Amino acid sequence: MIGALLPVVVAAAISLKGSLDAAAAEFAKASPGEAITVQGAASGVLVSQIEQGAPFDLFISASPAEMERLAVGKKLALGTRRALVTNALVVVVRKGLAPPEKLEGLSDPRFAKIAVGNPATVPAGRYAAQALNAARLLPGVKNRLVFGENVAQVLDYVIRGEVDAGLVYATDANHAGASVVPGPPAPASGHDPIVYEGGVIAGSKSAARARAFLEFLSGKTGQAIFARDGFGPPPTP
Amino acid sequence: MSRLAADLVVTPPANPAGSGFSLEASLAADPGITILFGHSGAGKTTALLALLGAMRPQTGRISLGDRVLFDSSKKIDVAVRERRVGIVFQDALLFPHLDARANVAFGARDRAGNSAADAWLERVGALGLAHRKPAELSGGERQRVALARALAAAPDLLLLDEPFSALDPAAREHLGSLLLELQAGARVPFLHVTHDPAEALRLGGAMLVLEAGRVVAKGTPTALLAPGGLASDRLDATNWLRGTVVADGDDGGRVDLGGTVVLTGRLHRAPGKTVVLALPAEEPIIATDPARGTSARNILAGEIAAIVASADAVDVIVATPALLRVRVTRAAVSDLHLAKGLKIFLLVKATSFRVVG
Amino acid sequence: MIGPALALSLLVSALATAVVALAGTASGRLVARSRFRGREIADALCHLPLVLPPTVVGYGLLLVFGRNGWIGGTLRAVTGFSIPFTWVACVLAAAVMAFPMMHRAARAAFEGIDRRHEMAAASLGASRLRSFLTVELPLARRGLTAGVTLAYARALGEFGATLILAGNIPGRTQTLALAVYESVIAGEHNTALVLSVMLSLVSVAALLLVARLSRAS
Repeated sequence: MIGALLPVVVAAAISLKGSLDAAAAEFAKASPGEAITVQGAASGVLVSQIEQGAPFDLFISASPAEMERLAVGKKLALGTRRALVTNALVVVVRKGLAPPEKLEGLSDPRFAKIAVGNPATVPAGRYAAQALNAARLLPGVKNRLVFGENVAQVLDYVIRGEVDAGLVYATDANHAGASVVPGPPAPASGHDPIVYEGGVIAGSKSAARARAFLEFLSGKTGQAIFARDGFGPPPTP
Repeated sequence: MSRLAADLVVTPPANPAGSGFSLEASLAADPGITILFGHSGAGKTTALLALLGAMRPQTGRISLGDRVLFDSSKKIDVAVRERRVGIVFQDALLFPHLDARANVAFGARDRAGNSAADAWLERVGALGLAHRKPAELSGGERQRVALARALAAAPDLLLLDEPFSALDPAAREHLGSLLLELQAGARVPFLHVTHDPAEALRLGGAMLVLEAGRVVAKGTPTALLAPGGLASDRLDATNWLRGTVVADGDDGGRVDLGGTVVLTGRLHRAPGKTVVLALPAEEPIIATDPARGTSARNILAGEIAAIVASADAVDVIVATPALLRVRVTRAAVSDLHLAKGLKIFLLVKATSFRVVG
Repeated sequence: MIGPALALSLLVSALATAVVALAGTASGRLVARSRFRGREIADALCHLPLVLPPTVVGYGLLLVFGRNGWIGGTLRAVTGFSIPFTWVACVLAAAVMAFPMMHRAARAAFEGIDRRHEMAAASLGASRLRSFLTVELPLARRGLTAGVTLAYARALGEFGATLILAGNIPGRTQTLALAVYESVIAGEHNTALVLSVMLSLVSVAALLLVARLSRAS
């Protein structure tokens, strides 16, 4: 790779990784020689790393809260913060078990163990906690909850049958296909809007190129890729 | 009456000493001290381990009294802990975390362990050491405790693997006497491994010579170690002589070597006691006439029994009637016309005899 | 968060160390003393949790002890009890990760004993069990103590496999190590500091205790 540009490194919530890889490939077609790498992890983990100075160029989180942390800590390049896409939270159930009709149906004892993201560090976990609270399922199901360190792990527990049900993003449920039984969505009114926000990291050596990629993601081509994968459009400001 | 009889073929696994041979031996021992004699690597330790049960012979049979301990044809292989065979190692190998008394009491088979242990410690002269740990004992003291420990378990056979080699001469002498006493009390066979001729002569009533895994000689130490004996040819040019003290005083001692009485230096031993002497073969002088006016206190009349020539020198074996080996040059042999059957005289200084046991 | 995590860590590491002390001593002695073919392979297998990444071990444990796992499935069918996401899972993960330390130390300790001691003990009429308890164990004590100490340290700090098998459920399976991780990620640096100090103190105290106990006996 001598003579080529250093890739722009994107830190992104894990549920975005598939779509972002596709978008990066499209972006590279339009600007030959351009290279983008995407690292996916729980938003909480990533923001923690960025706070410690990890050399990412662009950050896309699964909720505004993480982005706010960076903004407050002055780690964001001014004027680059924006909403990119939205997602929905759904119930998935392990194979061989009948899903509930509504979110409230999780109170049934056949769901002995329910996996959600760790509310302390995973946005999906926070949304799930809010949704469960709004459906008045907490504190009833509290003892049945199992925390995953990122949404992928939550999904994995459901796929393996280690738990009976889980709350994951709609896009993750789509990807899982037949390895899980789809269930009802959590009512959007019960939790904060799931808005993915992106921002260029202050001090990035590839700030201009990162910004260009971010613009691309907001543009027609980028948004089409997200929509294809099940994400919703950003809220109209 | 526990007599040991063993026929063994043992192939030790990957012998680190590199001798790479197997042991094929017929061993027998009656109650008493039987010496197992040989150089290192001869197979002595292998034999002991096979008797103990720690090494399994390829084929063979071991019986002790009327008990069969091992019989390959009948698939009998009694476990070590049931053989009632005791062992004392060269470095005592006491349990380092137990004191002397606990070590001795280890093998006691009844509740009276501790008091029996004290009795044994007293017999070996180590009662005062009862509460000391092995690390606080000298080599000789450790061996006393090791003997007590092995005998306290009332074995029918006691194996000793060069128990005194690592000790200084004074300790060796004391422990040798102790061993003779203990065996007389125990009345079972003691199989004592050593490569020291003095020790063999002093302690042994019977002897087996082991070489490259084979028993090459059986007999008494005196016979085997005498010049011309099957064990003596393999040694350096020293006469190892066992005799009885006839007298001992300021002028020196007098020892009966079984037919020949010699004058020696001061022995510090009472008449009637056994003594082992070493006489270097280079020291006696052969004379065809009994010389007069010499400082040699011994002028022994004898007959040449054999002349053994080797690369370096010639050994003349003289019967006085006790057999003595004298090393001379070829020139001496030809000048004096020495030949078998010739009657000659040996001039030996009293100071040439060293007390070694 | 702090109180329950501390209590859980103490309980889990003590239990895991106890289990490992027994299992590791047995396996270490077996490999040290036996001559069976495949001895070296068995020994290598015992080192596996040390060599593999903890997450891999965690997933491996899920495969075996999970709800539908080879052993876990049978356990659930027979007793109704499922291991993942319980304190049992914490103990299991910690024990598996700490096991190689004990095994290795035990093997070295038993190999270092002069075999003639066992011969002497047997010749004095001691049964295999008595010889093991009264001769081998005391002689191996130094090495075994070192093994227990290492195992304990490993169990206390265990993280990766626990995360997968036990989850990170505050008050139930969140050990001190997991709590530190969570507070760092969540940006709660003060809590993280307090927990880290606590973890260090607990570790040092336990190591000193082990050292004291081994000197006393």
